[in-house]
Amino acid sequence: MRRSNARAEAMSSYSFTDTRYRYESKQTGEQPLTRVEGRFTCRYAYGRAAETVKLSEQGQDFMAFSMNDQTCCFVLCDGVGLSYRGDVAARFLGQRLMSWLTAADQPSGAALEKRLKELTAEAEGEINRLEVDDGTPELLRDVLREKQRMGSESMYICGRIELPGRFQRKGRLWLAWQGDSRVRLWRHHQEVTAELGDRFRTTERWSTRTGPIGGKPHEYECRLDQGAGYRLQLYSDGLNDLDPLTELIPDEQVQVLFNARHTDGLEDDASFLEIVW
Amino acid sequence: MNYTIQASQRTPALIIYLIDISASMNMLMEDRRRIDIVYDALSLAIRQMVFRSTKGNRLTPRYRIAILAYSDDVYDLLNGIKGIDEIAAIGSLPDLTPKRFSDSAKAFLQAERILQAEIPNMQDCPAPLVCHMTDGVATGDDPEPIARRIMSMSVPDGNVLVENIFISDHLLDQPIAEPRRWKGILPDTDLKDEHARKLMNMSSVLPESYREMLVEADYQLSPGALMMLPGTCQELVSIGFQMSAATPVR
Repeated sequence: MRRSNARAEAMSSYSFTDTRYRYESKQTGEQPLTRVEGRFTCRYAYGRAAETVKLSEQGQDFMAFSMNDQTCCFVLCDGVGLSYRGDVAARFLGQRLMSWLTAADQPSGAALEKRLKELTAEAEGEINRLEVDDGTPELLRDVLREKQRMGSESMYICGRIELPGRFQRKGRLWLAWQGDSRVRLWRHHQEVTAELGDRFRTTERWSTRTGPIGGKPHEYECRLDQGAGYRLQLYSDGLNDLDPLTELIPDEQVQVLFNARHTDGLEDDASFLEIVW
Repeated sequence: MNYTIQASQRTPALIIYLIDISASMNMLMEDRRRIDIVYDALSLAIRQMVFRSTKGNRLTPRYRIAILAYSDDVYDLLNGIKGIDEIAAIGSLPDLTPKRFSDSAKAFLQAERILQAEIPNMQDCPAPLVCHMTDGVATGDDPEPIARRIMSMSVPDGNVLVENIFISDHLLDQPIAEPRRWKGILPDTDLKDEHARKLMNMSSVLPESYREMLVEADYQLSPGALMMLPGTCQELVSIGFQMSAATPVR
């Protein structure tokens, strides 16, 4: 595999072997657009809102993926800013979903829903251990403690791509999500995102206290043909400038969106992952 | 012009409260003084704004607020516009003490002056909102022409919104049994009280984005409802103040 990016990478975690690559965003820094090429070609980038950078705070998005010659697993979580410490829910959920996706024999909506409920016990413990600073003004402290009781929330998209192989004539794409982060799919270089349905809702997410909110996880599955020119794109709503664009966007232009010089930096946290195979 | 710009640190919402502190606010409603119910409802709205302004453990100033209490004069309770973070740092609102008359025109005039000074710097912000709470007939000049002028002021997000909370038992034919199921006052709703009809003319249509926020909070106001609440019980007064803080946020 080959990896390249525009600038030195400081604030991410990745590991690299001849056949395997893993990336996990750190929430404390930016990731310039980076390209990794193997049987899958991945482009990814991560940026925090200008306000968050200025105050050296954690981004509320979390993104991770891993890939080898046969399989690519990925997750993108967008912590809900109005919930208590959305950054914590996003990271917790993202890391657990990556472990689950990598280990699962055959991910499915039912298995995911069960997992999302199981995670709440551990997640709630983590949230309850967080302290609200005693120096915080009383009204704010009360509100934060109320939010803490209500839990932390995150939207998510996760999935797995299995390429056609020796024992599996056709490959498989499996996706699941709750919330309004974007996931778009191209086949034979034509956008076919409509196949996912109109099922991206702001009111749906995962909560550390109750698990899935607003209904069950949405699921999409399809068989994959050889050489059908697939492209899968995931991004958080901080990059909604991408919504009208259907053509492949050059690396430099994706980076321009992250730099957001016209607004003195990003107005919201932004994550971008594109997988081509 | 669709009231969809989100309140953020860069683009904060401006809300101006006009609170009637005439002598009649000493009268009782559900065994409490009207003024105390209003104070609690306003405090709850401030708390709601704090709730909607936290990110991580930090309070981002997504709202800017002015509170003008009026009787025969206007009293600027916060000494100008304050950020929600500054109000949270103070901890509680200044006391509301009833006085004598109810010159709402003076209060609307002061709100108009604030808006004239602020609007040139608010072109990327949510449309400002003026929330007026009263329990009776205005004793000074007619406030309607001033309110209409305010409603014609605008930013790209939309015209300035004017909301009225009218504490009165004589507004509607039927009492509102279930405030959460209530559909609101519509432009063709027949109001029994002449002053209520005047306030109706001074009330903006509830923007859809605000209505969606209220639906999320389990209030069932109809599309096209006016930003006018009959304060016949504590819950309706509270809904009125919550409505004022329903600017979209993420």
